[in-house]
Parts: sequence; structure tokens; C-alpha cells
Amino acid sequence: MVLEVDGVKLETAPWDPRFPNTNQTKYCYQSFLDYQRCKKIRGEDFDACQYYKRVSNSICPNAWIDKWNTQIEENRFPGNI
Amino acid sequence: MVMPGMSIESLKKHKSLIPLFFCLGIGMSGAAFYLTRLAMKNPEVTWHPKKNQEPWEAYKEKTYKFYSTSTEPPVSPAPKY
Repeated sequence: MVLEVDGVKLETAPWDPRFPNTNQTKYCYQSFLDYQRCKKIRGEDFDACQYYKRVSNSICPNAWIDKWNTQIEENRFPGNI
Repeated sequence: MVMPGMSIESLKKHKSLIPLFFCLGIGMSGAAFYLTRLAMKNPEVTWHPKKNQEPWEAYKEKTYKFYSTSTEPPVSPAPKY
């Protein structure tokens, strides 16, 4: 999960007991939701928010993130932020 | 007329049916148990989609899998905010 190449630490999302199965779709969605909620409460620079941002960016397909961000901008995101 | 073998008395005359009933019993109760477990315990199943939108949040420190290689209970790495 952690790899060091030329002094740069590469890291992916850690294993989470909430999502024990191979299908990690909900890990992606939950992390994205948590990032948006955290950003709303604490602001983007808070450590936990940065954690959720990293996790959702590693797990989610970029197309989904783009789509959800457009939905949030246009005020039609179905999730509860 | 009732089928022979459906009561305890007639089953004594048709002993060869006993293994069939035994195997069917195991199969049916196993299927019933597993379906009930999927419905009640699965982290991705919610019975109140309005009230409980994220059923997997209850599994932050619990295991869902039948068999786990680690002995200590799992801990979700997600921080609080």
C-alpha cells in the first residue's frame, strides 16, 4: 500500500472494515460524501478532509468525480451533504 | 391420499427416504440461514432507506466475513471530523 520511489511516497487507500468485499464502489461514494461533508463543516485544509480527498481520489473513477462535482455545482447532487 | 413417507410411521417402511430428507433439511435450513443473514447483516442492505442511508457505517469496528485471518477486531482508518 505504501511505496517509495526516488524519495516520493506513493500511497493508496487503506483497507476499511466497512467495505470488506471486492466491490469497493461504496468506499468510493462514502469517501466522496465524507470529503464534501467535512469540507462543509471544517474547511478544505483540515487534515481529515485531506484524508478523505486522497481516499476518494484513489478509489473513485475520475469520470465519477467529475460528474459528481458538476452535479454539486449545479445543485442537483442526490447525496445528503 | 397422502404420499407414503410423509409421516413418521410410513417413513419406517420406506427407510431409503431418510437420507433424502436429511440432505434436503440441511440444504433448506442452510439456504434459509444464509438468505436471512444477507438480509439482516449485510453492510450494504438497509431496511429503512430514508432513515439509514449508509448501513455500512455500523461496521466501522465489526467484521462481516465468516472467517477472518486477523484475531483482533478491525478498526476503520477513516478519521472523524
